[in-house]
Amino acid sequence: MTPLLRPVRPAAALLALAAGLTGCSSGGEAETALDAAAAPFSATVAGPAPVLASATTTDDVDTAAGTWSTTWVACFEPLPGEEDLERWEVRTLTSEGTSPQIEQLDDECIELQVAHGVGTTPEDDPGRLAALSDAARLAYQVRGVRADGSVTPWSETVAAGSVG
Amino acid sequence: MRRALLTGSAATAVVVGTLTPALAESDGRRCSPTRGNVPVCSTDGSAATATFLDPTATVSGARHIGLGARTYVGPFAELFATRHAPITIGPGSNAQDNVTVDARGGEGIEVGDEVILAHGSSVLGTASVGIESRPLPQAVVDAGVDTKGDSVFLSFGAQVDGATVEVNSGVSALARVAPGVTLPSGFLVLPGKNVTTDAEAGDPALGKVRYLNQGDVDFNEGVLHVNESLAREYTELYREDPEAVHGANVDPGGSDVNPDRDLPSFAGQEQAEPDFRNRVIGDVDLADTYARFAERTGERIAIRADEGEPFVIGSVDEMGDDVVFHALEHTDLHVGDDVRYGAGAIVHGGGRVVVEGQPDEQTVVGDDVTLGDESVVFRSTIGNDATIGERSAVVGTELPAGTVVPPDTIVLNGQVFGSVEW
Repeated sequence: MTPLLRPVRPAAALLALAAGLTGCSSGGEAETALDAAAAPFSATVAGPAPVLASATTTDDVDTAAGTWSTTWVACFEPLPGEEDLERWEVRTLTSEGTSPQIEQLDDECIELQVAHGVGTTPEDDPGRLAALSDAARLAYQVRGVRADGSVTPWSETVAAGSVG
Repeated sequence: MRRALLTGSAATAVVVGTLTPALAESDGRRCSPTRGNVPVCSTDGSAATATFLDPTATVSGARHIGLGARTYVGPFAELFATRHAPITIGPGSNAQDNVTVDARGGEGIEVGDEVILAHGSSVLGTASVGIESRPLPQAVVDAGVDTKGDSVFLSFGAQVDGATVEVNSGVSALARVAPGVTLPSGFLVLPGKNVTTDAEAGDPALGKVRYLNQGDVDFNEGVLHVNESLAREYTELYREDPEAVHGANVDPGGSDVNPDRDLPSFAGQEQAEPDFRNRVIGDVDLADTYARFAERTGERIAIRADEGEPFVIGSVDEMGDDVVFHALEHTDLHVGDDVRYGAGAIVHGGGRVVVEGQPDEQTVVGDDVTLGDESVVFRSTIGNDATIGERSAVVGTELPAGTVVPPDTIVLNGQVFGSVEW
């Protein structure tokens, strides 16, 4: 399994990753438009579910700014025969249940900032342990959408912060 | 999934302290949960925007309570208001099982839009949650956190006591914000911490709070969507069969992940017991017969499988009052035999973080385990004969058989994080 590590991109990039999960670049209008682009509730489900290809958690320390952040990236891949998926969708599961909202991913990866703080030694920050523990309340499933509008089954559930 | 028939007879919602006749009291923005406005508020409103109060919720001073649209009030939640101490709760918020919002000791409580009051949390006195705001701290801005909407999360057993909690903040499990303190936007109180000064509330270096991150925002957004859908689904269930939202009965189903309505089963026998004093909702498989379970359990217990997969609960040794069971969808919750549940204990399912080469463990509580009063088990495996002390929390942890967690201890991801300070 090859981790698909992304380069360190602090503020602007993390905004982009948030946008990746929400399916929008910033405002509500775009979100509405992309939500509408999600496969319909009644889409035909066929074929195998995508599988988790890699999941990594990376600490980045900016010594100049005196800050650190922890980012989780989970990437999925289709099973053989399903390589021509047109796009990817994600749904969120929480400790309270599954959100009915389905959102569009920019690609086959989920990227999420799960902790950040001030200082250069994140391992010494009690806030990091608490934030990583809290992150695992959040889990995701993804699915692929084909050109004909049919969808794959949802993938297995992957908790934020999982590594594998 | 088993599909259940709607069945049963039932009592009415508990509304005390008002002689208001059964009138639909709604100004279009806020609805007062008077006798005629429970469990759906307003009674004749659209299910898409209705607020639902579980019939076991206690409402005191209903005319002085205003609930926004799409609000879910869970089993055994308590709302206490008076003419001099009103309560308002904004649209899209939720007050989950055994939550207490008690304004009687102060001048009123304001809860804003999209505020999550999780199981067993409380807001007391003169308090404000999710109303006031200020610019996010620079560290949160620099991290690029997109707050999307403005939300607040109070976790299991958290308490806001005469304090102000601003939007885009939160209070972790068994933590507290003390009287007179303001928790600013962009900060979360760490588990078990007692924040007693504004300085502690706004400076992570003092060890009581951390910065808000993107995961927090996304979590809140998901929880809000789920609970808004619960308000709608329970409203539809009630309108289809008013007796089905009482006692041991079906879950509302209605979502793509949980489309069917399931009955709980006692000793292998599916049954609705709408007159039962406690709430047992959905696909819950209890080893005890109904009679034995009723005998061994206390009051105000909520076992709510309205989103999750089956809960499997072994023979109960003893279960105190105010116990809550709930779980993440797609996760199992297995509890062994002869477990002793202290009053206010919370057992919450959810998958643990997966590490390559290790199994995806679900939440499991072994046999002969003792859960202390107000203890929390979340996303953890608790070995046989273990003891979790009063007001301790075990989160994301595999606890070996026989382990004793002392009272007032927070265990996160297998590490002792600290103590409960209040």
